Amino acid sequence: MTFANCPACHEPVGGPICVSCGLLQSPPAELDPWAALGLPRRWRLDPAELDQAWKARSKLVHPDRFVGQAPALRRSALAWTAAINEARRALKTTSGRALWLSIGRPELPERGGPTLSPDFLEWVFEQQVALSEAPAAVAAEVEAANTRVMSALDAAFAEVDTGAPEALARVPELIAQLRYIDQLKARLDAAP
Amino acid sequence: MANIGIDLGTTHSLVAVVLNGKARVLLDDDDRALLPSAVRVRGDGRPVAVGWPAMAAAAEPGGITFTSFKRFMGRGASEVAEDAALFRYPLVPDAGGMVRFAVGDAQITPVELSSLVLRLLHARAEDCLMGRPGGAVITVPAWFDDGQRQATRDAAKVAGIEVLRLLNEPTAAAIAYGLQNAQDGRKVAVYDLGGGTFDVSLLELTDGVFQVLATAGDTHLGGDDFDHALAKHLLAEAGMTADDGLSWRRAVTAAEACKRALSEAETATATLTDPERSAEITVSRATFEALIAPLVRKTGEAALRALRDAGLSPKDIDEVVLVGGSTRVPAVRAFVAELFGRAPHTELHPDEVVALGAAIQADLLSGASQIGEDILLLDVLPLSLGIEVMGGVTERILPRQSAIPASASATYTTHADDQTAVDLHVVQGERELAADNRSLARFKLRIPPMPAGAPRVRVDFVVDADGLLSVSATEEHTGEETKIEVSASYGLSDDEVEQMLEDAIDHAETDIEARLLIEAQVEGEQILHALRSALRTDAAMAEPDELRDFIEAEAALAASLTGTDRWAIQAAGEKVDRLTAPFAQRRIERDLAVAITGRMAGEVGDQLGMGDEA
Repeated sequence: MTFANCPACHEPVGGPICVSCGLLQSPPAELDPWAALGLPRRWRLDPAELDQAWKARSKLVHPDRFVGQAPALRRSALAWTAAINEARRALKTTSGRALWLSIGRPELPERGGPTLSPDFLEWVFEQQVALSEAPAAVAAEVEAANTRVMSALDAAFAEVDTGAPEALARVPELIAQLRYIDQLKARLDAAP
Repeated sequence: MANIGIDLGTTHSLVAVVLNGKARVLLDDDDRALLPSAVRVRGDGRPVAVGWPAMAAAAEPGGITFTSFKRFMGRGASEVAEDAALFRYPLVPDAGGMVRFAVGDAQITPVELSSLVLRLLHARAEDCLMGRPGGAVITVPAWFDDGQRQATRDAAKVAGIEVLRLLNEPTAAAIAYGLQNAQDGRKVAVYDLGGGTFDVSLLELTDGVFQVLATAGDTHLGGDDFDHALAKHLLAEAGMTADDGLSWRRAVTAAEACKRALSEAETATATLTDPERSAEITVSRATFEALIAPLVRKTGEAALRALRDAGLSPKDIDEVVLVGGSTRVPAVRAFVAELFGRAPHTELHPDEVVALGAAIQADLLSGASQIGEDILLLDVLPLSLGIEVMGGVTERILPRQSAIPASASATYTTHADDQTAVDLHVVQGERELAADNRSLARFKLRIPPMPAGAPRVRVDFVVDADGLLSVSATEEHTGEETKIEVSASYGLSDDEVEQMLEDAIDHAETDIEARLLIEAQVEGEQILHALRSALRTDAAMAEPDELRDFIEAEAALAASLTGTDRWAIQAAGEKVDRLTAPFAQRRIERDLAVAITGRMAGEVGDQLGMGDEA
């Protein structure tokens, strides 16, 4: 993903504002969330770092900064701000970041998503049955499963970093598992 | 060309501006900051007075004084039937789309009424600033949906005001107190108890970002309810009844003055009059507080509801801000302090807080801010936006609390072969069924006939910094596109806005003439009323010749009041004043003598040689 050169001074720009002449650029058509926020493309992201990047960029591109200026600039400001707000939504969650890196969108598709192994589905079923009788045991099981999935994700992305992009193919299934794990957590929290 | 901040309130509105780095509210010619959000509309549908004169004419025949029209902004007739009944405003039946009030054969919209209030505030700013103000920041309740925000913008457009930004009222209040500079994660409760509405909002402030965590409230709870409770008590104590609207209104006025006095003093006295007598009732603060206790408790229930929605407990709140005139009542302040376990901010005038915050934001948007802090207010979407899909279910496209501006899209297809159009229904709200949510717009996208499931209809939502939505739909194979600014269901069409603008310009002169007539009528009625009540009690103090003149002048004045010649009304009123001056003087002397000697009126009259033989 690259930014075009500035239409005013023709210098290359690395973000929403041209570093040479200070002009707000119109956002590129395909802007991935990391680029929108000026963050390194990593799957582990400290929420504070995300918020900080989002605020810093908001201050540069928010339409309130372009009140009374040319309509084209105001349109760019609106488009940029919408893009960084959407980027922040996408990168807020573990699964959003992991999926974006692996399939280029923050959510699993409605249909044709990864198939889960019968073993995993049986495990989910058992936990659901045990939930009301032995919540403490289920909580421990769920916590262990969560740790396992997170380390598997770490391992997959570590492989990608060392030049093995095929490891990304494992990510959607792990995220689908994570979704069930999160549902179990929510039910544990909701239980009296 | 300073930018201005406007608080367009349910009962009152204000305008403020930042001058020399300090926000201040602007006053009218009589040094009043508050402008009642009231418009007098004549029987033929022509608005004739705005603000105080409109309130003064409220009890007069020949028209309607509209108040509280903010409650009707951007809403459909079916949504406001209850409010319309409460305020006794006749609605135009089945107008479709937005609410229209019927006045005689004519009709008027809440947007037009609001625009008249905005126009007057804008004119005030023009007077005070000795030049045309720049743009305006206008405040709206945090829970206002797209239709209500759009209606507010339309009202400004009709008034010829450039809107820089719509700002949430609680956010404005927090800005007025400079809380945007608070450290990360500070949580603020804004407790807003106005004349007729109560709102509590919980905000989280982090480094110039304001997020509304939750809002709750009661759309029919406010200082007016305090007045009514006290008025009932006063009438009961005096052994009086208020059988008609006018005597009830007088009792409420007395109660309101008494309430205000009790904010300063431990006891206050109210004077109630009916045709037979007058009574002085002394009320202690404790009595008043007992009367309003159930109402105050209701605000606490709403505040706890908001806390629950936000997943917070009262001790999580770091700052409490009071807004609205009713928060001057000491019992309310004490209640709020106890509820949140901390003293609320009271340094600023609670009526003015929202307007001051709007002015500060307007100044920041000028790009040449005198306050000059590098802050940016980021708002969130108050309610989710979505599309109705198969089975009448809502599919959320942008969830509530999304930071705005925002954009999102979704792709749909057809369910029948050879469909030539797709109906899109845009809704706002949190309910699962589209019918339970607020309908914002319906529109149709034409598509070429294709087998079911083949078309790919992409719907794009864009929400701007004011929270206003525009939607476009594109069929991706053919590039067929339809685009709308959402305002269709309850907003005004551009043509309607144009028409209102033209009307407003065309009728500027007749509007002034009509207002002068109203003022003359109000004054004439007052003179007539005073004469009639004086004759009822003291006719015996007038000589027979005098009495004949009085009755003639009274009849002439009453006759003139049925017409629309304001000069005739004024002349008749002046004649009554002139003729009755000696009689009025005698009555004043008599009353003075009563006060001095403390004796009965009849005896004094005899001693002063007045009455039959004089």
